[in-house]
Amino acid sequence: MKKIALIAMTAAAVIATPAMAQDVTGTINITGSVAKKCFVLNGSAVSSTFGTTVALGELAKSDGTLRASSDLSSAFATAGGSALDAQVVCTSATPSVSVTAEPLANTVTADTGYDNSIDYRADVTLTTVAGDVTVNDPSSNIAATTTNLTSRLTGTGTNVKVRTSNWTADGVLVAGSYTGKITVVIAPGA
Amino acid sequence: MRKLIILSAPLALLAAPAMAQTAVDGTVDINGSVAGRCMFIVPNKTISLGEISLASNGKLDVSKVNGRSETLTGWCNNTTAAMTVTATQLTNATTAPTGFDNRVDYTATAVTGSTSANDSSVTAGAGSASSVGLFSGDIVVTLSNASTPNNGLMVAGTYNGNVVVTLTPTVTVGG
Amino acid sequence: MNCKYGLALIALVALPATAAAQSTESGTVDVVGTVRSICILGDPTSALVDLGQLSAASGPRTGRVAVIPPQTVTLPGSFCNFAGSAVSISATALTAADATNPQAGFARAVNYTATATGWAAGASLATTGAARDGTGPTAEGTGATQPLPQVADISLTLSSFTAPGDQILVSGNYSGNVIVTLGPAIAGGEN
Repeated sequence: MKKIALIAMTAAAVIATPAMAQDVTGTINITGSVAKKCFVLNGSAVSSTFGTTVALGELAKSDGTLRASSDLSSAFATAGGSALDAQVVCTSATPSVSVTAEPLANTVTADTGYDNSIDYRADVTLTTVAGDVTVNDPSSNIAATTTNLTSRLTGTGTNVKVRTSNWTADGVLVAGSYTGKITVVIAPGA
Repeated sequence: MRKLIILSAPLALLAAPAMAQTAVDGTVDINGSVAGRCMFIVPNKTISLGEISLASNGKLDVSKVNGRSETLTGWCNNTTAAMTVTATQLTNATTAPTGFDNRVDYTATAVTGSTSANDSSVTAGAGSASSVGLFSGDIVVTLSNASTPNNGLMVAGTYNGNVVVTLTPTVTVGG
Repeated sequence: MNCKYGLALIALVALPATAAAQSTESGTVDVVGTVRSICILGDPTSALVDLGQLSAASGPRTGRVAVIPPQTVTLPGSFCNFAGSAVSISATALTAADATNPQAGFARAVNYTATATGWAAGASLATTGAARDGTGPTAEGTGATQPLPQVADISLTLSSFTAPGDQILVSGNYSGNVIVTLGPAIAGGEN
């Protein structure tokens, strides 16, 4: 006779209390970049150049030699006026500055005792957040004078000023037109 | 197996006359019957499936359902008793929006000895009957073929269903 | 003397039972399961949004924030299987890698608006308000509650890129982020 097998089982259905759903998060990362650049601000107008032509007029004194350096320096500043100052904006922290001064030269050949080339020094003053930095380049040296600024150019107002000093020449200046140039390059840098 | 014995009163008194001249025999017939019936000794069990959704995608984890089983114990004393299974799907009361399911279908199979009967919850009502005959012992109910109607995400909450195993004796007149 | 005799026959007969009524028995196996409440966010179509150059390269707005078109990232197939969920966003402005306090006229932050749509009737929105020195970069917003279990594509749109005071942006790499959170709408309550 078959025996009845009774299996003792607990019949209760145990349901764990559902835990409150956790929040789930996803993250979207956003990147972008601002290129280093320098540009000239003239009021609200943006351009990449500044400058002017400085007409010094008569370069020689009554004895035919070069006018006094201090005289020429102040004539340069007066003739150039506010066009010798510029507001340059650089978005980078350490712009580089390169100044090249080319002598005022006359194409006419100069005999001994005469001079057809006038040297000077270009003095460019840059205003940075840490103070003024001056870059000087003598026109007698063909190579440019460069420097890397260690702090930012100021963000408002003019911050580049071009002046001259140390005007020199040897002897009597030959007659004619003299032309020269100061080139200032401000780049965003490294 | 317990035997049922219906005792009929066995008294049959014959008053023998003192002066019978011939012997007299009296006969009392006794008869009884055992009703065909089935009975579940352990009529109710619960299969607790626990968490039935996949943590990775919120859909049904069939491995939580398929193969789960419980055992009922019962007997029938009639050689032509029949067993049927009625499987009712697991449902959750929350309405299922598009993309979701709130129902789990499955097949329930009841096995006793060498006889089995099954039913799918997909169709309402009982499955086909199987003849179990004279038996006493375990009826193992196993779940299989679990599925959701749309293979969708499962709404959160509790799901309830059941499997009913019915034993029906098909009895002739006793006598 | 006369004998009386009689037969007393007493018989008790058990009446045969008639055909037994079928007594059907049923046993029930209850089946119970649970489904935990969960939310899953779809993997974003782009985990990194690179806006490229943030400032205008030329023209009158040189150095200032450029016109950047809206950017959209989708988190497809996001779902919560319970009622009462919401999308929250925490947006952080882009700020320059150089943390130096910018001088007057410059800014080191780019603000924007982050909007998440597609989940509930009301969008989730946050607009960053970083100052030009990059402080206060994070803004948060939570959208409407979704009253039903929901599976949907969540769209996150970044738009309206501006610099504080529309000032000139310092150069370098900028980064920010948006964190999208999907979960129960009411903290601490039952779902």
